[in-house]
Amino acid sequence: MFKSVLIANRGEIAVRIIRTCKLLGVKTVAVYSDVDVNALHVKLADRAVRIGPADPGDSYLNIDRLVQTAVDAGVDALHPGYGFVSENWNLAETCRQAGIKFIGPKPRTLVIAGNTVDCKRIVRKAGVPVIEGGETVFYGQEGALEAAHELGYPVLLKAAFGGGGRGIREAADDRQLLQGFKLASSEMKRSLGKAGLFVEKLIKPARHIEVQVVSDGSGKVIQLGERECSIQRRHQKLLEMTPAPGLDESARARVGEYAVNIAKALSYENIGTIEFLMDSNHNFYFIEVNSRLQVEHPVTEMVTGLDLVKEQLEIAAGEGIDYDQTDVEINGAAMECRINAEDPASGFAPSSGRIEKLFFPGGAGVRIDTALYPGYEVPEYYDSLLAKLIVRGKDLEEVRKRMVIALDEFEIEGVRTTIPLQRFILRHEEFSKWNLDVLFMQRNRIIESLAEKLSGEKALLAERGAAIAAVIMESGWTTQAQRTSATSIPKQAARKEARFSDTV
Amino acid sequence: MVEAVRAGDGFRVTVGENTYLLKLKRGVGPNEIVAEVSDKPLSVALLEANSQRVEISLNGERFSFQRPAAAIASSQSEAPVAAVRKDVIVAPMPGRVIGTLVKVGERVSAGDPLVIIESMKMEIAVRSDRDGEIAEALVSDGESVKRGQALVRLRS
Repeated sequence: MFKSVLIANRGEIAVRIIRTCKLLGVKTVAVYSDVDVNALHVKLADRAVRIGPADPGDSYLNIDRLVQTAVDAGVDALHPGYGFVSENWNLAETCRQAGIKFIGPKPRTLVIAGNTVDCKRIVRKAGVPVIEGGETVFYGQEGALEAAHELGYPVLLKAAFGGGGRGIREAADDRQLLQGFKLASSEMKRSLGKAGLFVEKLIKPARHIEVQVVSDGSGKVIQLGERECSIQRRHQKLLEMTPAPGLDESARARVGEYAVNIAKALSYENIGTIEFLMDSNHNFYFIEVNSRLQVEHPVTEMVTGLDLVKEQLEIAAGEGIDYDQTDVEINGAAMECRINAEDPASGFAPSSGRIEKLFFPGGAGVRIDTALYPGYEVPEYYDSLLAKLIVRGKDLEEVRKRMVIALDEFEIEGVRTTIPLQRFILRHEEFSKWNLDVLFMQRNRIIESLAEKLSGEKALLAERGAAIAAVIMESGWTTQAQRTSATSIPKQAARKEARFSDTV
Repeated sequence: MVEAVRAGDGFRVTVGENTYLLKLKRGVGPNEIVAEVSDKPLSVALLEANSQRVEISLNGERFSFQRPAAAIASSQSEAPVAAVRKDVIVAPMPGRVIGTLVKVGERVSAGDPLVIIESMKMEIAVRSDRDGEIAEALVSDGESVKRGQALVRLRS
C-alpha cells in the first residue's frame, strides 16, 4: 500500500477519501485554495498545502500545480476525487511522467472514455447497444437536419463539448431542430467559445440506470449491481437508489454483463461506472463511461458492504481484487439524496453563505457524507453539493420511509437547500409507486407544486411571526448585548431584483 | 392588523382572521425564545428587538415587523442597495460576471436577461425587472461581484 497520497479535491469527497486513507494507514496531503483554508478536508488531512486563489482555474483545475505539489510533498499517489480534473487524461499522464501513481484509469482509457464517438464505436464492437446517432459533430444546421432525417424524429441535440448536461434539447420536427440548434450553439459559444452538436435518437420514456464496475486492469472485472438515477433536474442527479425498482432479474443480469463487457473492451483499470438509458421494454443503451469515483458511490457501498475508495487504493497499489463475482452479495436497498445549496423556492438559485445552524439526522441505516460544520462558509466558487444523505434498509419501501424521516430531521440554516424538494419528492404518490423516468420532475410538475406549497407555508409562518413579534413588543423583550447572530446571518438573495433562469 | 391582549399567563393575538394563544419563554441561546403556539413550541431567534421594531428568524426565515403592527413587513428579502438606488439592477448572489448581454443605449423590457453571473458552477441570468434603457454598465466580464452589488444602471 502507498505511504502517502495527495487528494486533489475538496469538499465532502476529499473528506471521504481521507477517511479511507486513515483506515489503511496512508498519510494524506490535502490541497486548498485561499477560500478553503478553513475547510474540513484541510483540518482532517495530515498535511495541507495551499495551491492557489479561490478561482478553480487557478487552484483545483491547475494540473501542473497539483502534480508539482504532489512531487514536492513526496507522495506516492494522487487521488483526483470527482469533478474538477478527475477524468482529465492530462492529469493522469502528468502524474505518470512525474512518477506519481494516479488513482484511476490509465491515461489512454481516459482519452477514449472522454471521447463519446470513439467510446461508442468500441462499445458497439463489444456487442452492447448504443443510442443511434451521435457519432458526428455538426457545426452547421444542414448536416444536423440531414442526420435527424436519417434517424427519424424525435431526436436529441447534445453539446459535443463541455458536458454536464448543458445544451441538451429535444426536437420532434425540422422547426424544433433548427431552433434548438441555434439556441444550443449560441449557448456553447458564450460559455466555451466554440460550438458543435451531436444529433441522437431520442429514447422516451427513458430511465437512467448505471452499473458500478471494479476492474484490476488485467482482465478481472466485477460488477457491483445497478443504480437508478432517473430523478434529475437540469440533467443533474438529485437522488439515486439501488436496486432499480421494477427491474427483473434477466434485465439486471443483462445490464451487468454489458457493463463488464464494456470495461473489458476498454481494458479498464480501477473503479468506474457505465451509464445506460433504459426504455420501457427494458432495453439498455450505452450512454457513457464515468471513469472516476462517483458522487453516488455510497449507494453501492451500503448494499455491498464494500469501501469503494479502499478498492481504488488497493487496485492502484497493485494489490488486485481478492474476491470474485460470485462473492459479491447485494443486501437490501439503499438511496442517496444530494443536498445542494440551492433555493427551490427561487428557481434553484445557488445559495452560498455561512452555516448558522446544523443538525444531522441519525438512527439505524443512516449515513451522511459532508464537509459541513456549524459556522462554515459555503463558498460561491465551487459546486453546490453540501451533503449526501444515504440510507439503507431491507427493501426500497423501508428505505423510502427512512429517508423521509431523515430528511425531516435534517436542519441546515444560513443557506437555502434542496431539502424541501427532496422531502416533497419522497412523499409524492408517483415516487412511492416507483413510477420513475427522466421526465419525472416535468411530468409531475414537481417544481411548480413545491413552489406553491412553500409559499403557502411561508405565509403561515409569516403570520405566526407577526403574532410572536406582537407579543415580543408587548412583553418588552429586547435583544441582549451580543448580537452575533443578528450580524452574521447572511442576507437572503434579493429575489425581487432578478429572476433566475436555467436556460443559460 | 395585529392585536395582542394579555390572557392568563400568555397572550391572545389576532392576526387578520386568525387568533393565536401564545406564551413566550426563554430559549437555549442568549437571543433565543421559545414560542408556545398551537400544538408545538416554535424556536425563535431574536435578531433585533425594541419597542418599535422586531426582527426574528423562524425556521431559517427572517421576518421584520414594525409598530404600528399594521405595517407588517413581509418576509425579508433584503436588498439594501437596491432599496435606495432604484435605477440599478443588482447581483442576486455573489459570483463572477461571465457575460454582459446588453450595451449602453440599448432598450430592454422587463424579463430581459442583462448579465450572466456564474456562482457555484451555475450560470444565472440576471434579468431586468422593468422596461428601460441601459444607461451604464457597472461591471465587466470576469469581475467578481458581491450580493447586492449594482450591475447595470437603467433609465426609463
